[in-house]
Amino acid sequence: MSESRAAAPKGTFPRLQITEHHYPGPDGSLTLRLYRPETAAALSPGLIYIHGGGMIMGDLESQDENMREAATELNMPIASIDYRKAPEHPYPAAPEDCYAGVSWVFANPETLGMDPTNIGLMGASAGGGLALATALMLRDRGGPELAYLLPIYPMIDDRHATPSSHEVVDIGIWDRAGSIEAWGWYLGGKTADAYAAPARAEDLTRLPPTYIDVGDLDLFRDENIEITQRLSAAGVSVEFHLWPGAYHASELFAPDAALSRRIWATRYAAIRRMAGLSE
Amino acid sequence: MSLWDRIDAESRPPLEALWEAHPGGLNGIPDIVAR
Repeated sequence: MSESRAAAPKGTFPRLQITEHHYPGPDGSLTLRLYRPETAAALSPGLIYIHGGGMIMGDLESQDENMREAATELNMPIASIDYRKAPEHPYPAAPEDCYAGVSWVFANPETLGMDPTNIGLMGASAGGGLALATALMLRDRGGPELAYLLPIYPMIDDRHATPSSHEVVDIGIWDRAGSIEAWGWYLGGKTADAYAAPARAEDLTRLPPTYIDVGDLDLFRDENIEITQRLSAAGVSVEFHLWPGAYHASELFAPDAALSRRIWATRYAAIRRMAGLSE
Repeated sequence: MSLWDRIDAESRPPLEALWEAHPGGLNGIPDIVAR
């Protein structure tokens, strides 16, 4: 059962219809915010987005402006899905919520204006880790088939054993001490498995075409490089970008920097390519 | 060269502003959940 309500656009994106939809999750109602360009086809290629926040913070509102821009730029509907956070709701609450959200999108494509054969999944930071986890769950549970996957500087490894996880201690955005603390809240005393920390997944086969990017000053740099190599070795089509001079989420903190514009433009081009649209 | 020296020049000001408001950046806020 879903219900929707119109949300008045507050930015400078008058060609978007923005609605919220509510659907049952594993432990109560969850919310999805849809950004639908008025010029998009009735059944358009679509994108599902999972916001970041270290598994402990963030919400639909935190990425609202970016979703407006992305939907406008790509001229495709974007469904931004929410999930429960730690420490109140430790693992597996978040990936199970994301799985429910993605499944609901695939079950309601006409409501969202999406072609169910051409829906991608994107997320950043914790959202990137959840995107990967959800893709693994969809594969393992025989769920709907994603057209493509964009884990952006994904948070995927609780072990903090890579060189970059030791190097990044004083940038001030997502450093080693805070990352270890957040993983502790997220796991809540449980041992991480592949859905909690996708870097631990032994089987990376049968995942959709994937795009990953990360800054070379990001704590997640080396775990992202490593999983890119492993995905490629597992036969997954992967495009990867390592951005020199970028720290964790720098394109969000400094959106007007030329580097940030290059990062977004490269992501948009990858989405268009993987969705079969002209770049 | 330190990590800070390698930060993209145009991406640095928001970070410096964050440090000015919260010395240590987000690390300067003791309880991560409060971030």
